Amino acid sequence: MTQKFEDLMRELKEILVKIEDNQTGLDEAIALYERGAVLIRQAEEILSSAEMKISLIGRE
Amino acid sequence: MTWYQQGIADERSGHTTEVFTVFQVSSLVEMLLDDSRIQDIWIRGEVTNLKLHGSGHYYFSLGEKSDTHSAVLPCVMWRGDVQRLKCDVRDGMKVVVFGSIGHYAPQGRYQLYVRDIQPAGRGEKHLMIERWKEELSREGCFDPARKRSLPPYPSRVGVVTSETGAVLQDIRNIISRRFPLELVVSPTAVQGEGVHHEIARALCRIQDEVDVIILARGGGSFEDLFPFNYPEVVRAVSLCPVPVVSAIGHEVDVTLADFAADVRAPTPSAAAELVVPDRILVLDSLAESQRTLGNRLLNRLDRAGKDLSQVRERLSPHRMGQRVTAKREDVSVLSDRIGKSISSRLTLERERLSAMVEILCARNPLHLIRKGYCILEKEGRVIRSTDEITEGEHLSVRLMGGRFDANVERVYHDPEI
Repeated sequence: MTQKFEDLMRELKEILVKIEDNQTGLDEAIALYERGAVLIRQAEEILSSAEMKISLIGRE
Repeated sequence: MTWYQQGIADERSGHTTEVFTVFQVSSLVEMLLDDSRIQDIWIRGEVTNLKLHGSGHYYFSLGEKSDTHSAVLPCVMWRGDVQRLKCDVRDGMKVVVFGSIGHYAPQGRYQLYVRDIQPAGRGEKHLMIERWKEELSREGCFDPARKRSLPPYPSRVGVVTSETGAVLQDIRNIISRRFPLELVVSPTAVQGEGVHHEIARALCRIQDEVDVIILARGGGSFEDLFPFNYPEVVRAVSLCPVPVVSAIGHEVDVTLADFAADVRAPTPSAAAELVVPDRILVLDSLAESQRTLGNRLLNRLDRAGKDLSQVRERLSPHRMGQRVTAKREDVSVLSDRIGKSISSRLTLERERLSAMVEILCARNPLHLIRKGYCILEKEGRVIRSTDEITEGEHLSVRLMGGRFDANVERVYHDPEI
């Protein structure tokens, strides 16, 4: 999980809002849907492949 | 000057003339003792002659001895304050007490009305905390406006705690269960003399490496947790560039570092739960987003379909026919109006023309000729007066049926014509 995950989630939220907006053209809405589906798949992949890493910062 | 000031003045000048009553002197003593320097103060001393009265009040003396001097303060502590005490008080105990000096008139003695008693070491630490709290508060370390919200999806979580304790294990377990990610541990001792420097350094060391920091320590006594009250630690927390979640001791224990942290968690495990979301819940919400996304696109398509059928309805042949008929009607109404206005204009113009013709006819010179007049002309010009002709001249005369030439034999001027 990374900063990227947060970006994915933010973009997904924006898409959810835009796709319902009548100002958004139909072509754009369909493109947004496709983009949203890709984002969801990526987010799910990040979540299911997340691994615990532990590092130690040495004392001086 | 009031009666007692008068009394003092007289006494000082050696001219005491007045005899006071006991009440008067007693009230004077009471007023003299009402001095802010001996009200609401902390006093260090040793407890002696402790008596627990049947009413629940404490009576004792607070004493201090040196090689050459000794002094005691008679003390009383009312039942309500005794019940709030968090420590047992015994004779011989070194304590710090909080209270005010007052006068008890019936026995003619002054005493300390005690409201709180702390064992000496701890009491002094409480005082240090109070002083630091005030100082750090002035610096803005506890300002609520400085509190930041936690990043919803951190990449790296920092943990400042002992590397050997159960606390780190708890945090690690919770995070690996909820949302496995990179944990960066900045180890530090959390107990002992001078350890606050190490805690502050451990915080500074990690602050540029992570998105959020958990500052944690397991439960312990007031003294165990005391390092987390030091200004060095509090400042390190409040100046930290990333949000800090504090989890120091149990929920009932509060240190100054907790006040400075962006979020205070009741336990280290709770802190771990606060900094990362639960992966299962995030996956659920992603699935929900997927459904919402689909539904919203369908709604959007549905609305687009409705828009289209509305347009189609507007363009239908029937509607077009209706519109053509309507336009045709408009055209015929207009053409009627044009026809009417043209014909009335023509009538008007015709009337004007015939009026002009009449005027013209009335002014036609042929009219005069028809009535029997003739017109004299000389070289194409009309002669209007006898002044224009001379005898012997040739003139042309125009009259009904044509014209003829004439010679002027004689001219007769008549001034009356």
